[in-house]
Amino acid sequence: MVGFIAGVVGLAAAGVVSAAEEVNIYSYRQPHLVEPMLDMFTVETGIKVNTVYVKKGMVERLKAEGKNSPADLALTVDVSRLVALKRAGLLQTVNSIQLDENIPQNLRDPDGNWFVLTQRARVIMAARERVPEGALTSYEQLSDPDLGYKICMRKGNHAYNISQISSMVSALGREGAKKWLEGVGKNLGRKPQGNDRAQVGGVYSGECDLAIVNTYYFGKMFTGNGGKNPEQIAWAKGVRVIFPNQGDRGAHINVSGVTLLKHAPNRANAIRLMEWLSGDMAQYMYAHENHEFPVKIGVPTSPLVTKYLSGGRFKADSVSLAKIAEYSRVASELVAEVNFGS
Amino acid sequence: MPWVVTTWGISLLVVLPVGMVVLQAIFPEDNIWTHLVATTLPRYLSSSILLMVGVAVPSAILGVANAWLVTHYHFPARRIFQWALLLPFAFPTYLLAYLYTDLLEYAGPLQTLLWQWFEWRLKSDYWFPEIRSHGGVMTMFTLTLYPYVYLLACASFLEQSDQPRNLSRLLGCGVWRSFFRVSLPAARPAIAVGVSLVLMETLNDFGTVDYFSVETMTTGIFDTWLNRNNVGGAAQIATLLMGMVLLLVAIEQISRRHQRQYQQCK
Ligand SMILES: [Fe+2]
Repeated sequence: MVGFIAGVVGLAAAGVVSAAEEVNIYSYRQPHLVEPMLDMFTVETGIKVNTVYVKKGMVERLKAEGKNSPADLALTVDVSRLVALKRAGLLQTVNSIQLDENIPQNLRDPDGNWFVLTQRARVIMAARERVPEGALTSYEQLSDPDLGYKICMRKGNHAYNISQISSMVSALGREGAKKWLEGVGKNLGRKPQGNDRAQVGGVYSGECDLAIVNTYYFGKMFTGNGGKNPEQIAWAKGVRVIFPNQGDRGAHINVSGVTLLKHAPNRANAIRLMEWLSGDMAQYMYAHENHEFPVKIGVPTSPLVTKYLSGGRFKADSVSLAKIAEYSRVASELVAEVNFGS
Repeated sequence: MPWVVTTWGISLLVVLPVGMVVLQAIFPEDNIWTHLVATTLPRYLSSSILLMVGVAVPSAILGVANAWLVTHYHFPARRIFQWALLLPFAFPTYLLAYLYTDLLEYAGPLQTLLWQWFEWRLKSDYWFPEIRSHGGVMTMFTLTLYPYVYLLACASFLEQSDQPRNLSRLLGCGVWRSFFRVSLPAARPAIAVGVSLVLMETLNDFGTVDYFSVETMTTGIFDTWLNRNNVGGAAQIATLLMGMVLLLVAIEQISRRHQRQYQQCK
């Protein structure tokens, strides 16, 4: 029903400007990030972009809309969401030399169904005053009964954590990952709650000593979120960013990406936007507005990321995105089985 | 005749999605029922039941006691109390939850004040009740939902004839005895209706329990559907939840029937 209404609204929105060149997007990514880029795309190409910001249940919505869906592209974080769209048969193949040139092969679906646009690492942010440098070097240590530090982490079933747990399944096997998750659960300083930044807030207030956070949030906090959250500058300054497992498999990476939907009514424009998003202008904006790691070789990270987050030059876990997506089901089973966080 | 059509039309609008959910539950695309039963479902269920008990009992006590006081005693500002006690009705539970959390959480003003007074700083330095807990949820619900009981109990107490109570007093019953032996039993069906409404609200809430990170049947539906991407599993939990609500409706209906009898006897 929601999908139906959304479809009607989307169609109505599309109808108004049907004469002009346009492209329609369903986005899990937030307006403040996406809008400046899409505006730039419109300026450069004259193609109007209509965006519906979705909070939850994009797959269900697209399924419900079927052939009548007005959407051309889906923008989302998390590879398992990209794969879920593919599995639901909602995508179509894109053959584009430009996409293939801009995006490294390991960051593209072998069938050309989805394309990664940005990367970020899931890192540990440790209280500068309480956790000495070098005290913590791996994700595995987080489950140590003698860790001696409290961990702040958002709810286990959030996409970022599912992705992280999937990588633990890949590294340690199902049982190993289950033990790890149980151990981490016992070291939590408080019930899982809030978003990634709230975890660093928890470290600042002293409720925890360690927070599990995506890298770009460090940039957002450090800049006071563009003046909206000045209190978070102190949060960022109070922590040391630790890229885990540099001695072995590397830090876990999660991604954001774009896909072309099966019933896209504006296919050509949609592909043009996909190519544009992988190009220099958009990649630069992703890196500088949101402090993510661009996928296009040669695009610089933001000065802040360069200075405080090693410019993205750290060892990243090389496990394939396909594996991470494949294990996401096991990961969410594990969260349920160990009753994480209670 | 048009009324019948309208009624059927509206009923159909309500029943259709419910039927869809039940169908999804019986014929799920990807059946995780065994995993649900082995892992999360017992937790969701016991947590919801625990909440129901923990909300029903204090709501009943608070509702009945206040109703009794404002209908049977004269005290200053009684008339104001009569309607002021209904005000929490207008207050969404999750809003109250936000307010209390801001006040009582670790980095909130109250605990910060305590740090200054007692030179505490770390969480391990002292004990403080965790607002994000079953107890916290029960408190929030009780504070916003007791008016259901209060309202119905008030109506029932006002409707009751004074004669049986006065008679019991004449026959030597004390104030308390005559309340428990005469007035309360007469109001019992009304109270049961109020409590079952409180319980339905408790079962259906999502905002408060989600904010407090307390698992229930509703957060389970949400989690299974949107985080685990399993509509079938979510539909199965939802069907069970609807069964629980139907049970409450049945209890409420039976209570109402009793109430009618009481009123006819009068
Ligand atoms: Fe994010």
